[in-house]
Amino acid sequence: MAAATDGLRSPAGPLIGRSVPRLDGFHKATGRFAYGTDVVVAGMLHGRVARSPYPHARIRAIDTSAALATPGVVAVVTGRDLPERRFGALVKDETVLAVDVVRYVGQPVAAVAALAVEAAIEAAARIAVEYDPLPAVDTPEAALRAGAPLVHEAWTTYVAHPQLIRAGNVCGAATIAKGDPSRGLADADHVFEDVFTTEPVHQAYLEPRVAIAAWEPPGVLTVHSNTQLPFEAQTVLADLLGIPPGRVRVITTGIGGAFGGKLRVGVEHIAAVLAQRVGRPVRIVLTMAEEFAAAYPRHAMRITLRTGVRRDGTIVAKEAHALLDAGAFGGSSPGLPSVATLVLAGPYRIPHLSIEATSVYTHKQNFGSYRAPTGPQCAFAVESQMDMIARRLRLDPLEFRLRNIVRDGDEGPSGQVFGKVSLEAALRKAAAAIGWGHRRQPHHGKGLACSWWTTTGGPSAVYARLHADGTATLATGCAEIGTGALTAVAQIFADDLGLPVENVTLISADTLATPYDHGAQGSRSTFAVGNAARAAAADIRRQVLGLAAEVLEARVSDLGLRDGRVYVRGTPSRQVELGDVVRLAMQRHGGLVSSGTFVAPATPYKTDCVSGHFYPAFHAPSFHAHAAEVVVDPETGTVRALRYVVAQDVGKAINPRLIEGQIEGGVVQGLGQALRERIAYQGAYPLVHNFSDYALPRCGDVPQITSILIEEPSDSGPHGARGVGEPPIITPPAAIANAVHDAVGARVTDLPLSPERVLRAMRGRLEGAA
Amino acid sequence: MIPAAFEYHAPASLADAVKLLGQHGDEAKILSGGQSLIPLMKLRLATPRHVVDINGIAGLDYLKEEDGVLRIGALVREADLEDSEFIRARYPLLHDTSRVVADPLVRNLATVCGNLAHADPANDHPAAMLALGAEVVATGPRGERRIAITSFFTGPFATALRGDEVLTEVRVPVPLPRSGGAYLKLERKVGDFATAAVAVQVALDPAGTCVHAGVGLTNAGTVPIKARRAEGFLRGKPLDDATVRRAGELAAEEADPVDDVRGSAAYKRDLVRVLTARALRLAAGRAGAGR
Ligand SMILES: Cc1cc2nc3c(=O)[nH]c(=O)nc-3n(C[C@H](O)[C@H](O)[C@H](O)COP(=O)(O)OP(=O)(O)OC[C@H]3O[C@@H](n4cnc5c(N)ncnc54)[C@H](O)[C@@H]3O)c2cc1C
Repeated sequence: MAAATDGLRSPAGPLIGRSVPRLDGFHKATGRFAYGTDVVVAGMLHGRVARSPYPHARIRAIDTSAALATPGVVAVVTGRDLPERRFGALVKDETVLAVDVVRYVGQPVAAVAALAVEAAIEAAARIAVEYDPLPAVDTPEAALRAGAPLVHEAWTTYVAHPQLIRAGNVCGAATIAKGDPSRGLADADHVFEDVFTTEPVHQAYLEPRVAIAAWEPPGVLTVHSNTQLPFEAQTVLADLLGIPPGRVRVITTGIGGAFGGKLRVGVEHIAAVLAQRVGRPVRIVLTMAEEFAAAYPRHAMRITLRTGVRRDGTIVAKEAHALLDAGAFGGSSPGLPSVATLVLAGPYRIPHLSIEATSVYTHKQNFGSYRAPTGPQCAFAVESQMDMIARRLRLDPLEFRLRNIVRDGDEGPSGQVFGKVSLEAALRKAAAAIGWGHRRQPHHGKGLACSWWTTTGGPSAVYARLHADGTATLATGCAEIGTGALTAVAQIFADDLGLPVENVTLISADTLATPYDHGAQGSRSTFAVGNAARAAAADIRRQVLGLAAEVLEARVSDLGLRDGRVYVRGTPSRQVELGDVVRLAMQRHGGLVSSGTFVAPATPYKTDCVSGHFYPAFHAPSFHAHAAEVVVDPETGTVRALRYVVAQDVGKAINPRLIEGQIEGGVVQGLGQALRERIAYQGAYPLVHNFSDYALPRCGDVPQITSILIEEPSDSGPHGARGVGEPPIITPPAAIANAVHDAVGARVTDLPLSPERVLRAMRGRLEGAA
Repeated sequence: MIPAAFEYHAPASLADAVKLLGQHGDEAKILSGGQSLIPLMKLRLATPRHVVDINGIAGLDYLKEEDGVLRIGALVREADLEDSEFIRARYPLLHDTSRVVADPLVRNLATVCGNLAHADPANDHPAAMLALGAEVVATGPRGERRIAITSFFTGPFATALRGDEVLTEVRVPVPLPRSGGAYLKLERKVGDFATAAVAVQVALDPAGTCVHAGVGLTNAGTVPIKARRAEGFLRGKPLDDATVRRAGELAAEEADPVDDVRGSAAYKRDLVRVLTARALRLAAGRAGAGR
């Protein structure tokens, strides 16, 4: 039967759904795993970056003589020494080093290469820059004011994506419009308007960004870095250096945490220009202070929601306005308003929508793509308001949600049509697990929140090869960023070929040795690379079974693959080792190799609903509900999370333990943003420089977390899987804010819910009542 | 994250350490637990040319009660206090304090004396020692001198120690009968420096009247603060609810906090009020339990 040879449709075998240990786990747990900072290249020099102390200033002069005179220094470069080429994902607005103007505290101004790190540090400190400070804009509101300084005076001359909406300090905007929102609001029995704000939070990866750039014969630039997107780095480097991408080999090293912070080019370009100048390999490892000053943390957002509701609790219309603080350059920011609009609409049936999100340049570091970018901010606003409305209407927040959530076959905000929607199950399971509606002690409270998210599309391709010893190699352009996604991919591949998972070796993320992959981002790795691996497995399987049929004198349709052998169904004693089939293939035609490709099918949507959009629909969407129990100290405002429950539709749990790891990690990060984390600023000056200033939660701050996996298969994921990596971080701030309100009756609409803010809200409530 | 170049000295005796300090003056720094000094050097906020490591000096790690004082030697670590049943039972304030300094990794190395010598207004032991009425011993070229803790902290990160002196001992008077103490700290995350914290030590007479009160405040000003008005108010009163609340208010008035990433001045002042009252209740309970 055909299904047996069609890998993409062959049924799941014993490896699917099993919590096999992650392939890199042993080495990571025992300290043997090589991370980016462990990589050294013979003869390398050490680079160091001199950075701007001002948020906005004109560079009057740079004197590099003292730096150059430092013993051990080989070269110093400034922006003026480089050809003026700009890079950026949707708008090319950034140069490798600042030219004439600095636009944020921490912007690279010059770079040094030296024989030793110590000399590089010394020399970088001796670069003398004369600045004329200029007025800075520190918030989107300030940047949008008439007469505000333009962060990029020459913005009209920049190369940008033709669909990108830009205007002065606006570097991206997207809308969703549907129905007739003003009529919808006019017809509603109640209209609720609320404003929410969030502050920037950092991915807080423990390994700083690192790159080693070397020019190798015959003129190939080889860069080792802990990037999530080697192919993006390849394109950017080729562009900046004026060489063909085929001459740029970016190899992703082990990655010590990324969470979206290592998507965009970080330090590769600076290492590359230094290496080019000195003709030797150059390594740059950033410090944590640099990571806090000049990375891609999560955007601060300001969100206004106007929601119209009928007396019976049916939502009829919603208007949303959101501003993202992009920082001084585009980076990920121009494309993210699109994503924000979908989260702001929420997983609800709302006939009339008018949603608008805008990214605005300010004189701060370039905020970027932290795990589920814009998700937590938007869900915090939407789900806090859902609770607020429910309470104002004296409805149970769970009931109010159930009355309005999207269901099977419904239309999404931009007109995409959903298949099965598991949100009711998620809400009910999370509520049951937290004991929703049960009596509670004083100052204890429970909160619910739900959301939805995408499985990012984009192409994936793999090469596969079976070896004569019965093992296999799978080469993917996707990096393993620590989620274990590539273990799941190995599982999927091994399952289709009846191999033990340990027999699969993965080669990953090398722009000249592995095929193109859209990369480790957007909850897509298991989904997309898994599908490509299934295609490659199907091809190899077809070849293996064809040859084995000859050897075993059986029909292909009677053959099965198990434990590294091909056997005849019904007569398992008639079997041949996979290795023998490989040897036969070598004699016949040179070996057993294959490739597989995949690109997620486009999700149809209504084009007239959206404008300025780069992400008009959520592919293979996942739905999730979170529930939290907290206790609040009524005198200090301190919130302690006691229990936390996540019910998430994962489509198919390829490896349940890995998914639980994603859920627990995401929740911890989400709780950090909910309660304590923020990169504080004074004006445009950051006040956080290290992990002492930054309040990342620690073990003792984290409650028990329960993961409930719902498996409603997606149409296009391997075995029905959906993206799982990002969703867990989206909902905690809202769930916690709702639980705090339940505990003490105080509503905090600004993140984080610091003790001080909670206390102020409690007192405000008391004063209001008095 | 690499310190500037420095010369490393590991004297085997206190006399040698003092001599090295004398030779190098302002350019020398003592290294004990290294949990403040090394990070500062890595960040290049401190760039001593000479580092004098006192960890190799024998006989500085004693922790003992003698002649009416608890003597804490220069190389006693936070973990030594934390792990000591004797300290837990007899000096609950010290035990509370050492348990909330940083995390176990730091506490295994950080010293109590270093915590005082560093004189960070956010360090936890200064307030505790102010509440306990401790004394420190400074050893220099002319031998030892004792400094009352109340005159030890002279400014942010500044103490009454001279450049050629080693802080060799902290002396804590043994508690009076029916004594109790407590340290309460509010932190943004486990192991963080205090947003604000309060140390109290009280002694009661048999009738339950407060005969001695010490109140110290952490991160409530640019230096550790001894809340004298609160202390004076408490003496001679039973530690009932109205009294501890009023003491909290007085301590809050004595606090002089500044805005920082951990909280606004107003919030910290309010925390001092709340934590003082709570710490007094806890300390009074402990004093009562020891009756
Ligand atoms: C991650 C982290 C978190 C921390 N959190 C806290 C916290 O929550 N609360 C808290 O109180 N502290 C905290 N600390 C600081 C820690 O407790 C310090 O180690 C302590 O303050 C200093 O003690 P030390 O023995 O490590 O001193 P060192 O770092 O060795 O020295 C500190 C300073 O004191 C001087 N000095 C040290 N010993 C002597 C001596 N015997 N005589 C004279 N001068 C001396 C040194 O020259 C130096 O200037 C933290 C540290 C870290 C790394």
